[in-house]
Amino acid sequence: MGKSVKDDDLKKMLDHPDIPELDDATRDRIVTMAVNRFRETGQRSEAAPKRPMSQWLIPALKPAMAAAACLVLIVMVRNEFTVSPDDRTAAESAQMMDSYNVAVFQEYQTLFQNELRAVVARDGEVDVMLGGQDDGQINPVVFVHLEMDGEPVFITAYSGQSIETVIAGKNVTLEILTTSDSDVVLVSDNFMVDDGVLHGAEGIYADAHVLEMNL
Amino acid sequence: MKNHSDFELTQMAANGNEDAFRCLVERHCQTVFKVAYKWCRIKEDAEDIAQDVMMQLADKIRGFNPDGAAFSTWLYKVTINKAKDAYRKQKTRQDNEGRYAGSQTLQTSTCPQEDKLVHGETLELVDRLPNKEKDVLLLIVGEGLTHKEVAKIVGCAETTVSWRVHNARKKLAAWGNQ
Repeated sequence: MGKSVKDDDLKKMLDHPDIPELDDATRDRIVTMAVNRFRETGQRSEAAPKRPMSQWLIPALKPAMAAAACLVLIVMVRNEFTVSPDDRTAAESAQMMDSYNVAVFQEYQTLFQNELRAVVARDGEVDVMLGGQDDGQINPVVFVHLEMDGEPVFITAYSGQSIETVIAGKNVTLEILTTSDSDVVLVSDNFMVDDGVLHGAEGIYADAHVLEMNL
Repeated sequence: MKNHSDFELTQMAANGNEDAFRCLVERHCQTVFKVAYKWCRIKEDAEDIAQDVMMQLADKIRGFNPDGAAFSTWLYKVTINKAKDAYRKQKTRQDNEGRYAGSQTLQTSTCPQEDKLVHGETLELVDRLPNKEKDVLLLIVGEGLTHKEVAKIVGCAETTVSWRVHNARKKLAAWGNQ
């Protein structure tokens, strides 16, 4: 996967004493200009003539009410004939999470000692669940739950660990990271999580979505 | 006024309180300048950016909804956008003139040469990052913000921020070893 630079080292290099400060004279000038602008903006809005509400409210309401009525009708018709796949998946996933929460946690407490399970996945839709437990230790346990056609398979590792595994017939290296808020993120050279969606290189995954769970 | 939180000051300034607005500007001017400087690395440009941001704040504060988004989120967002614009113009000037700003800003420094080199080189490596990765790196490592806060500033999911920081660190390590 390649080593990365530690934040402490990077911070020391970025926060160099040569980074200048805003001198007092410049700061005072900026403050004065901003306050003057604030004052002028206030005076301008007070000076602007105000129309009586009756002159603009009623004419504005008529087209707005017509548009709202059309929108309600469209939504009613649409809901009658379609079900959002996202809603269905989210509901199913929420159920899955509930039932797995306790079972998985108990199971993986016994797997705290670096045990890994190889993952063999088939092509098709996957749900990838990222979860982790920050128990105050430096390396929280992370587990990845892949569900293929209703059959769950699991990966467990420590944060910061790299795992070699096989997914959809391809060798994949996964690296487990933690964010500053103790959430965990699964990253890999082969796929990435972007805006809650799993994107696969070479079309490994289709319609995958990520559920974040903190135990 | 100085004991009031940003939230309270923003509310008061939105209602036309000049002292509250002045306090907000004084409180955040230095931070805006530093964030802008880390991005564009020219002192004069960073001063101009700080001035532009505060003038924009003066125009927008009356319509600002403190319940909607944190004041600091708005401030960082505007500062980064203005800094990127200034940096783009600066790069065009430099490409035409064939020199780097980084070496200029360190010329009058009294720091040891070795430190200057490391710092200058680091900033030049950071400049090579794609804008999205540079944004998140400077905000998280440079300003100490959380991934969640940065996600609101740059407008993406928190996991995307984590990915970009991870990528940025890897690239810096790889470039630094060359």
